[in-house]
Amino acid sequence: MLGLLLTTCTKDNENLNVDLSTYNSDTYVPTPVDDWIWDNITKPYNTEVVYRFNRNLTDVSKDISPIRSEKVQPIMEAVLEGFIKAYARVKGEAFIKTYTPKQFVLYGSASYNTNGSITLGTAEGGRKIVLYELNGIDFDNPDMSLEGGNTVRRRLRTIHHEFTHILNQIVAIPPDFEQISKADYEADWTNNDINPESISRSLGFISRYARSVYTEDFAEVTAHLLVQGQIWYDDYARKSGVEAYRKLKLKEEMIVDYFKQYFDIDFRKLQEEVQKVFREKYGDKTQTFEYWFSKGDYAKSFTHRPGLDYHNTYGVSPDFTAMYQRAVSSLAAIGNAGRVLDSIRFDFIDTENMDMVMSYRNAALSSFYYAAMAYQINIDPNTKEVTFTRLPARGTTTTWTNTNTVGSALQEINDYLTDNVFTADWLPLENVPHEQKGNYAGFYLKDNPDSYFYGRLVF
Amino acid sequence: MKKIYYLFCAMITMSCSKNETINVFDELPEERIGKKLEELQDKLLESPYGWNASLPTSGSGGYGFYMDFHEDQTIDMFADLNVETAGVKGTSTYRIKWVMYPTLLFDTYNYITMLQDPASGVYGGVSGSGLKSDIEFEYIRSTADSIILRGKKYENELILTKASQSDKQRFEEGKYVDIIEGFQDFFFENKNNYIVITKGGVDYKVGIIYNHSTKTFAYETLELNESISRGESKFCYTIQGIGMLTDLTYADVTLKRGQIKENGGLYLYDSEGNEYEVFQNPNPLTPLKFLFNYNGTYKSIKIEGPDIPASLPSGVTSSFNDIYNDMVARFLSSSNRKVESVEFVLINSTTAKINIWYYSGSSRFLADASFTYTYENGIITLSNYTPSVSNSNWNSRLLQIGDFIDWIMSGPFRIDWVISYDPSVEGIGGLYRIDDPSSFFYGKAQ
Repeated sequence: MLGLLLTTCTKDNENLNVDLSTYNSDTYVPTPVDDWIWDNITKPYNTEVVYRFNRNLTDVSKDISPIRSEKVQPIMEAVLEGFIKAYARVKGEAFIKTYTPKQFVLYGSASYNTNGSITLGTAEGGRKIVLYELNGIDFDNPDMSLEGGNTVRRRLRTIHHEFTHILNQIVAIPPDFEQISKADYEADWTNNDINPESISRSLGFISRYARSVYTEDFAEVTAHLLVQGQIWYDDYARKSGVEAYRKLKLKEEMIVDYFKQYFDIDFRKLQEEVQKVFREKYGDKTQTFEYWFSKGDYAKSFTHRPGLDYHNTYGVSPDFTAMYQRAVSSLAAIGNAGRVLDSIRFDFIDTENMDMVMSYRNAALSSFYYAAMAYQINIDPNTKEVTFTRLPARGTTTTWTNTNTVGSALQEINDYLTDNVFTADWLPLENVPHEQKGNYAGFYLKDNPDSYFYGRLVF
Repeated sequence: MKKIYYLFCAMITMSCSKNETINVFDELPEERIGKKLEELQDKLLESPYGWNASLPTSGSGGYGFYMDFHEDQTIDMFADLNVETAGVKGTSTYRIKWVMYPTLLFDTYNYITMLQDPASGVYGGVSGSGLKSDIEFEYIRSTADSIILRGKKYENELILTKASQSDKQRFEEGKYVDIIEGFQDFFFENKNNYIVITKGGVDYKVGIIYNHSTKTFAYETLELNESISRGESKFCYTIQGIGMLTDLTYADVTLKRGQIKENGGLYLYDSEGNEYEVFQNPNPLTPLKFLFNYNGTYKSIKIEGPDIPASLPSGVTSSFNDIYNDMVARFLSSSNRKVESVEFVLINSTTAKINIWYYSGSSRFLADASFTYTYENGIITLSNYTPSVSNSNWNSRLLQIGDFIDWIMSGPFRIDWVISYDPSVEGIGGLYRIDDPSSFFYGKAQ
């Protein structure tokens, strides 16, 4: 019996020789775009790019159009420069080769949802990222606005958002992060009544979506910091209310710390790398002071006073310092009264009006006084160059009438303002840490950048 | 028991012997699949001058294409979607893939994709599904000079027929645009078109209705028993003219295609190759009374536009003209109120309404009144005048409306088309007083 059992199962091996060359895999004749993808993405990063229509890589029940072939390379260049290489430059090739999503799937139209909304991108399990509506992106004249719905910037935000989830799968989000907004998360985040932007913002969320759950909050804050940029982030936070500002800055701090502590990634450097791609590859103007200055409602004022702490760190313009010194002497000499110049403040009332306000004391140093001069700000719409025109006094309070007595002390600085063409700019980035960049700005002589006046902005 | 034991032994001894695989068909599945894929690929490349193609959509009419497939899996395309797609060659890629059947995929964007694009802003249709069309087509069968494929989701047939050298040349020279514009011009200039079809020894004037925007072609004819026969087909433009995508059959005649000849005339051809010249009738072929009903093709007669206050359609003489113009003038002299439109409409099987929309300043107001009506053999009789149905505006404006009310009450009315001396004015319906046919209310039949 046993013998019978043993001998019964002889196996014929003949048909195991399957000829795989006859297997009909889904292939196609490569085009130059395919060669570019192979050389720049698939080979170095082991990442597949599927741009030829494949219904099975998206929602099979929906009608979704393929991408135009001429849009493939531009979008993948954006992904390569603004995401893959940004990480590679900060943390090294090995890191991004290990963790980058292994499949990018591109579609030309949006993915329409039954509730009328559209999906622009999805990610699955840290392996696959699907991008939609790419036919609508103009790469020749890229829209780099911060609000644009279908832009290179918006797509990179999706990718950075999803990649943050991948990082969170490697090292979980520190529990403290969840505590910041724990009481305010709302699963029904698309509900316009429960979660309009005004409410999510006032609660300290960077977007409506961020309010859905703390993991999305973490990814949204990270993606906004990287892609919208620090200046935008700070501006958004400042205008969201005191409590929201505190929460948003706390979230930012924890994220910077998370990247440093668990991945040894300098988040500030990563932000700069992403922003640099926008500046250099897509001509992003939203990172300039001139953009925020001409937009208005960015900063209220800055003050020049000798000996401010940051003067030691970032230096001062010798030209302007000399003028200020002459103003000190000139003020003291007026009526032999020995008045003491304290500082000069530049107030930005709106995009067209600025006041220069001198603050001074009497000889006994017992009282403070102010004297103001009004200016019109003119911004050339094309070159964005700035000129100032003197305006009559805006009022009859002492701040304005004092100028009749002591204004002559500032005559030289007044002439400097009204006789020159300036460019508005941040302090050079190499001097200022990335996260502080939006805090220091000033006006440079167009023809002599060594002559300038600047200060720490008051918001 | 012993029997069971033997049976058990026998089962063991026999169970695991494996026979050589016997293919029901001669070859392994992957080999047969490979052959079918190759067949489709070879077939697509077989026509030296490319293919004329047609494709109906589920969301709108039919569309015509020229497709030239290349060995490197790129494809050149023209399409009759608009002037640009008809005149400028579009290039994209395609591939062949096995999904239940050999499947042809237009796998990067081209003109055919515009029909499938879910964004209604691209080529109309419904947001989320566009014109309801496909970019994946299953290979059904082929003949010596055609390939028949079927859309994977919406199941419309994409039919490719071999193009000749001169076809290809004509597409590349932009003649496709001329064809499309030629048809649009013909139907803009010629109204009330018909062909003559003989049925049972009687010649019928069969009206033909062309709709460029929905890409549909229809016929409509009045039978002896006063019923209306109507048929409709999706059509596409071809490099010669137009082609019907479904059977358009009246009597025994199945219309297949149409062509504008050099003499400027339009001719239709049936499946037998018989030619039908298209003639023009001075009046609309089907009397309005057969089309006008609360649930019919038309249910209202409306005076509107082009400016505000609305003026009556030009080129018509009716003693109603004074009644209307006086009413508009009274509205104007009353705080500059401007009449936007005046409409007679059948709301349901018993109720008719007069709607007067007017502006006071920048606000738009409605004054309305309703009637009970009977409608027999084209005669409308109104009764039970009820002013101010939706609001009190009718009564407030009674002074301005004035003797328009008296006119409306002076029925019964016969309903019929109104012919204007101005050839650009068409589709005008009228309510003719039975007592005085020179007095009739008229406006756009809607």
